[in-house]
This record gives sequence, structure tokens and C-alpha cells, in this order.
Amino acid sequence: MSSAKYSETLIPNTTAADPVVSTQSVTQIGTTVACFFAVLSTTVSAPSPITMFRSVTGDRLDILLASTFTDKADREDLDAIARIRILGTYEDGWNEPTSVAPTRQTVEYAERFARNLFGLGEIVPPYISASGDGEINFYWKSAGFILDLGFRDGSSYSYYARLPSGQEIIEDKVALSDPLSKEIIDSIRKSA
Amino acid sequence: MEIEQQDKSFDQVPPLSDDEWLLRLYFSPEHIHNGEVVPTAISLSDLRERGFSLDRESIVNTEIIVTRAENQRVKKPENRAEPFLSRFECCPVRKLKHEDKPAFEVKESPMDENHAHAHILSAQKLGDGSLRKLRNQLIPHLQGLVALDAYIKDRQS
Repeated sequence: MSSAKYSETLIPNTTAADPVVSTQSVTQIGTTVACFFAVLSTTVSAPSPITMFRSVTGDRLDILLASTFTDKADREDLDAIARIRILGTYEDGWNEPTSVAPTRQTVEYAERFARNLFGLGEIVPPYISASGDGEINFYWKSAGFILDLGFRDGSSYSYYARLPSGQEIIEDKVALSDPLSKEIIDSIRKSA
Repeated sequence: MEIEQQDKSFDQVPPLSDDEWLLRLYFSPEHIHNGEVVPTAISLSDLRERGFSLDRESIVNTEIIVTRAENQRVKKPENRAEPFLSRFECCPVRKLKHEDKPAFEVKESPMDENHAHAHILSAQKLGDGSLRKLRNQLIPHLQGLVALDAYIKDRQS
């Protein structure tokens, strides 16, 4: 669709040769604006559910997928985010009868973490899964290396890492803004 | 009176011994990846306070396990993957250490509907990071996976 045609479909014809149409359009717009403000002033919208294609903080996944980055091999970050959003659709009782679903906050922080993680460069994709207490977990396991990292409610995460050298790193509470240690990042890089 | 009878009934449940074999049913296919149990199969909350639920093989009524699997399958029909069990011995888990002290309490915890119920708890009060370490110590002991159907057939034969 050309830009001229696009404009024609959205903007009413308000030329002087057709003053009646122009007046009606102005009235309709006025009514629409009044209704809009009336709705704004009287209702508080409920938060919309998290779906595969929508989160509160993130861009819409379908838009991201349709962006210039179309090479699937280069978009493991989107696979991770899609997986996290699937976990966000779980309901209480999804595992054992007493299990709880990941909260909206947990989904959002996990998603932000995934974005930061893949922003580091070529990263081995983690296995992403949920636990019965609502945790969203990122798990890496390879020869001599384990990283078990997860989010539950709150803006922090915790992890246990066992490096190929045998060294163990244990953190109970790490802020999302704090970077992972260089040793851990080196271990999850594709070249490692 | 009813509580008294229940207590008596629980008293008849023998304590969990080192040589017993334990069973853990997995409800969700995502907790088994590439044929291995993953850490999220053990929630940190279970290790910290609720207990990671098990059945004692020597006294369990297998009908209870089958019904449990079926109930969850009906509740979440999209998870129609075959249910699996971990089968493992009690003693090696009891021997696991965290900072030179026993890492886990592995104990009988009979319930009204299942006298064979037992659990694993962290033996120490730990933060989330250390509980993650504990579950990664436990995971290798859970890798003896067997399909529930095959296990039941084997028990019946």
C-alpha cells in the first residue's frame, strides 16, 4: 500500500468542496474524543494476561520475529523469551496439585535476564523450565560445568555454579543489574 | 478418638531404613530432559520446608501411584507424555554431606491416604543458592528412571 493511499483511508476528506462531510467528520471526532476521555476517567483496566506474544515490559514477540533479524540461528534469544512466556501461561496446580505457577513478576524478570544474557554474545542456550514453587530456571550442564540459576518472586535471582576447574560459586541473592562473574560467562560462551 | 486411632495406625508404620528403595513420580515432562531429571524437578520450597515427596517401595500400594499419575494427567491433558519414576536407595542419599554435616533428612511421613509416604528435606537451614547446590547433589541419585507402566507390569509379574 502506498503512503498516499494509506493516508486516504485514515484521514476524512475535508475539502471546501464538500463542507457537509467535513462538519460531520468534526462532530464524529469530537464525540469519539469525549467518549475516550470518559472511559479514561471512569475505568481502571485490569492487567492483561501474559501470553506467548505479549508481556508488560517486553516488545511484542511477533513484531520482533518479523524484524530484520530473520535468521533463526541468530535468534536463540527469541526462543528463550518465547519459552519463558509459555511458562507464564501455567496455572496453579500445573505440576503436583499443590504446585504454583510462575508469577507475572517472575516472568518479567526472567525475560529481562534472558535479554541481558543473549546480549553478551554467542551464548549456549540454557534449558529453561519451571519448578513446582513457581521458579523459572536457567540450567546449563556440560562436561564438568553446572549452572543452576533461577528466579522466584522478587527482583533478584540465585544460583549455584560448579566450574570445570572444580570451583563452586553460590549466590543467594543477585540483583538483575549485577553481571555474572567472568568465569561463569566464559563457561557459557559457545566458544568455551 | 479418631485422631487416636490415626496415631496408632501411623505408629504401625516402620521407620524408613537405610536399605529401603524409594520412588518419585514425575508429573511434568519438562522435568526430564534428554533422558535426565533436571533440577527443577526438585523445588527449593520442597527442600526447605514442605519435603520432596516420595513413596517407600516396600510398602506402597502401587494403585495409589497410578491414580496420582492419572489424576494429574486428566487435569492437564496436554501433558500426555508417559509418566516416569525415579527408583533409588535411601542410604546413599542419607550419606550426602553439606559442609561436613548430613545434607538431607530422609524420613518416613505417613499420611492418611498413603502410609508409604516419605520425604527428603534439607537437614540445615540454607539460602536459595546453597539449596540449589543440594539439589544438584541429589539429582544424580534420581537418574534411575523407569516408565510407570513398565514398573507396574514388572511388580505384578
